[in-house]
Amino acid sequence: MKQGSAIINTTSVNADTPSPQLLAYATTKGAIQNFTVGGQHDAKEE
Amino acid sequence: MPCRTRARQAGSVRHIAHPTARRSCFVHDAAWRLTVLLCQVNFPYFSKRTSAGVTTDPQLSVSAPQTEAFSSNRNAGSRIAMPGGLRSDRRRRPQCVLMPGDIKDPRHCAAIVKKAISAFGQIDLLVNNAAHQASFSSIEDITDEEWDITFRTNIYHLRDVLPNQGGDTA
Repeated sequence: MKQGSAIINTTSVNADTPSPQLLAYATTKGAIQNFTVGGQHDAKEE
Repeated sequence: MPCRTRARQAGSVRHIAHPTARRSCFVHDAAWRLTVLLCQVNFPYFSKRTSAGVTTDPQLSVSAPQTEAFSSNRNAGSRIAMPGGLRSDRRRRPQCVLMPGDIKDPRHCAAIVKKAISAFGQIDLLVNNAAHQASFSSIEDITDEEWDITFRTNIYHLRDVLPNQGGDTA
């Protein structure tokens, strides 16, 4: 992707305040948040 | 494959498989030269469109759930929501290509990236919105399969749809 392009990863309120009933979902949403924030570094380098 | 909602009640476990859990699409707006790769599952509009193909139907890129999804992000939303304002302008109608398939499958992820690039030349905006969600009253009720489906649907594609995966650098 060229400079100025963007990636939007959709996460959820469950990433920060996980619902006990949606544990699997909430776990993945927390991971998405981490992936996104951590991945920023990589994106900037390119 | 026809899309449908499945919901079953099994004891205290309620499982809902979303009807459109196997779809992704990409949109290209010629006027703005913007190609958007959407990894979608919760996109009710697609339930009306079960066939694959290329269409110039502008509504495909302006349906309510989509603009809703982007409205929370003003910066990105201002670009992506743009086709909605151009609906009446024929020349600016965005193109949309649907790619039915399983987003859990890395080969499908690679295929939609490849097809997006071959159809429109580049990807400017990648929207990963694919998700699977089911409700359980206890951790013990979550089966291995359910765990696997959730992770594969929600997380794996984040990496697998990166255009640079598989050597494509567009």
